[in-house]
Amino acid sequence: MNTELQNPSMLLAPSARKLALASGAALAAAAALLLIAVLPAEYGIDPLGTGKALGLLALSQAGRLEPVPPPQGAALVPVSEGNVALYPGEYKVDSRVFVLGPYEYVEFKYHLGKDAVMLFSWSADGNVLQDFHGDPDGAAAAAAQSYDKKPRRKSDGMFTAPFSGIHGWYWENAGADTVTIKVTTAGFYTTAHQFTMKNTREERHVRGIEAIPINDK
Amino acid sequence: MGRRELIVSAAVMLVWIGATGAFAHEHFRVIGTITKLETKQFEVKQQDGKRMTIYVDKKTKVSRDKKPVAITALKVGQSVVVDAYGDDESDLLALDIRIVPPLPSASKK
Repeated sequence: MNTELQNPSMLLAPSARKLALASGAALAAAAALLLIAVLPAEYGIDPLGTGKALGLLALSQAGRLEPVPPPQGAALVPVSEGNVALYPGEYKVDSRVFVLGPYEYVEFKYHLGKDAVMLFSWSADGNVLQDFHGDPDGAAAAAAQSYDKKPRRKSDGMFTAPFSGIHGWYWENAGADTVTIKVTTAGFYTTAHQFTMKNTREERHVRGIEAIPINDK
Repeated sequence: MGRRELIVSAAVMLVWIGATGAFAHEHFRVIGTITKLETKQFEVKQQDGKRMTIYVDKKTKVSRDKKPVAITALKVGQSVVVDAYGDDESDLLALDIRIVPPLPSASKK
């Protein structure tokens, strides 16, 4: 009786020599991979120079790099790094509602350093005269610079401060009906200031980004 | 310091003090109804009931419907928007007076 025909697995079993050759080849391939890729990428060890050639050394350094500190300074002025502008502090957010009686006006401005940025949206439910303008730090009122005086009921945009100073809006109710103005801003400003018809100037609190509710949806 | 330097210094000081005084004047807006008229001043009752006395001079401009009118066009009972300069609310000089349609809330007071 032929036992090889009755047990097919015995026909497929490789010889010990073949097994040793295959194991040796697998081991050599694994060792090559270790030297060429794994050691340079994981540990920064590059005995063959392949890590540098393949750009794998950077992978090993990613976890070991010291974090770069943010720009330092008291003023919220940007430091450009390519397409990114970094600031020494967080941005602020603010929202206001102004109700203007007939012919009343209000001025509301934020202090921004030179080149600091602010996003804004405002709208009025009636006709208003508006002047988006800025006053340089320490300068006389005559030094004020107007950015936009076109008649508008709504304006959404981004502003980059051309100089360090207070920048914001003059809104005047040009008619006999009460007008409500809503304004929302976010930006690298430090303080807000409200000026009234009674020649008062009051500093207003602006909120940090912790005031923004977490969006969990 | 010579006499000439002293005079120059005094003149500079006077100019500086004058300039400081000029800049100290602030802008106020008064909105309300004329309750009293005199040659060099008039009184305005604001919407909150407060009465303000405002001076006028030759430079004071008066307008109605964006057209200039003589100061004699001002009458008791008119609603006005007054832009004035002064150190405070008790010392105001009118720069610009606009005669406007009767104010809704002012007419009730």
